[in-house]
Amino acid sequence: MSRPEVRVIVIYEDRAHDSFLRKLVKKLRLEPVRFEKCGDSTGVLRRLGREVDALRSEKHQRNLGLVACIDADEKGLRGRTMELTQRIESDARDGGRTEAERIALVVPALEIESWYVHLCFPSARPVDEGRDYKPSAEWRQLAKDLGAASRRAIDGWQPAPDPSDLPSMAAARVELARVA
Amino acid sequence: MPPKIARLYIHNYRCFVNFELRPGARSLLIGYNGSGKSSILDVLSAIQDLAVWNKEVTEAFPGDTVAKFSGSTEQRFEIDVESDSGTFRYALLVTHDLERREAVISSEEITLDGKPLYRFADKEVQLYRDDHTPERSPFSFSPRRSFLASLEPKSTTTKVSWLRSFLQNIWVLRLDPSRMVALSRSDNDVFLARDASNFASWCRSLLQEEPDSLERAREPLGEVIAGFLHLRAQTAGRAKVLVAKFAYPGGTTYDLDFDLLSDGQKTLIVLYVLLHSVLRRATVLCLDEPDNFVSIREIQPFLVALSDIADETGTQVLLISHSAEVIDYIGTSEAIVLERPDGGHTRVSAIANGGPLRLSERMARGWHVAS
Repeated sequence: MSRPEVRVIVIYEDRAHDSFLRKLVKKLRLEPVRFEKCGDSTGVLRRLGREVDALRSEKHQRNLGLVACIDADEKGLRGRTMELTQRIESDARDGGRTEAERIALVVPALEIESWYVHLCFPSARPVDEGRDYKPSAEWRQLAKDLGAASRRAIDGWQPAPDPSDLPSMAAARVELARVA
Repeated sequence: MPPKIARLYIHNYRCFVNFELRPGARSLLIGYNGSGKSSILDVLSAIQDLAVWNKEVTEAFPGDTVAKFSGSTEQRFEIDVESDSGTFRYALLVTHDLERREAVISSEEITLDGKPLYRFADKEVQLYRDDHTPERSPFSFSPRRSFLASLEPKSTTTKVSWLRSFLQNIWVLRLDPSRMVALSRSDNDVFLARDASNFASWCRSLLQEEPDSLERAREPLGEVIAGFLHLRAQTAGRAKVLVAKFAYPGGTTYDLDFDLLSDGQKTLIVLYVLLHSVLRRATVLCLDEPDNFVSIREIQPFLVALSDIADETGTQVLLISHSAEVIDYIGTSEAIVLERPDGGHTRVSAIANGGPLRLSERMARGWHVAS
């Protein structure tokens, strides 16, 4: 029996996120209801509480979920995940997320560019999650054609946990499993 | 790297004086009414009409397109196209005789990384081989039309032909559902009018030539138009009528002539058929306010489908919109603001980033331009 269709709202920062997440959602066989580009990390943090409230107000739609994606940046995977969790607690009317809620907090470290480089350039591994890859030759090459880059990246995203996964990717898989 | 327009230069055309635009792989032109957004697409159409479709220069660039405040009768246009072979430049200089309402091509040139591939000047054409050596002696040609439109493909001049083909595959569309009719008298209408008024005829030829593209459009259309099943051309005497088939919830089906659909339904059908046919062969797709007539819920699914297919094909996309849905989805990083301060000529301004408001909300308050 096929699983019921899971419909998701996806909030994220920018174009690099957009291109990656559109394809990841498709690969995970989730049905997008809405993509919300928030511009930057502050925009995602500002929007998160409202989206959690909106999701909870539609709780009769049991197959509805929320994916929030925000780069770890200097806060690191743990620090940013904690910030997102606290933001839901402080901004959402009914408090923090529960285990049963379809809310996934996806935090690429150091940023989504690190994931692109890891997935598109196996020769660049091990990718250092503490390093900024935006100035790297690999990212500059990928950024010339983001559409093709995101296709390559998602082609490289293994359906099951993979030993080569970056720690932030492994954490994202656990988060995404809450939604799917 | 997919080829793309890296730079467009326009001088002395409507509200453009010494104007330069550098679009990205996907760009959204925003600005107030009269800021010149649609005129940019008109320039691309006019160059295509001249260099590909063999229109007279007076028809492609009528005298009333000369900027009213420039005092000059010369218009200059340049298109830089980045490709794996290098950067092509198409440059055109048009001189107007405003009293006689006539225009001539003073010069027309194609270069690759600055080296000549084609030159028309002083009523003479000089063609160059791909290695930039002269193909043959210069020969006379009328300054009223572009020789490029008559250029025969040759193995020694493939680069000029490549650029012409690039220009030919720029699709500029400004849909007008009120002009779309269901009746088609020809199955040979391979060119879609820029307002898609001949969609029924064009679709009929598409049904014959590329039935797969209509098949691909069927599923997404079924998701955005309740009950939609498919399109077909139904015989009506010597002509054919484009018909949309629908199903009631119980399963009973019924047909509706294309022109009996709502403006929004017609627009959605054209847009999705374009995505699954044209976008796969277009070099650049320019859509002027594609969201007109489309309900707010249907705009983002179209943008997502457009982005997915453009990512796949590498097609450059240039959009114009006033819709908050489009503005906020494309966002600040890919939006280009056009402005005409004090009603003068158009300029590109930087977008003001940051703050708690979305770009569309900042635009509504006039806060979208960086000071």
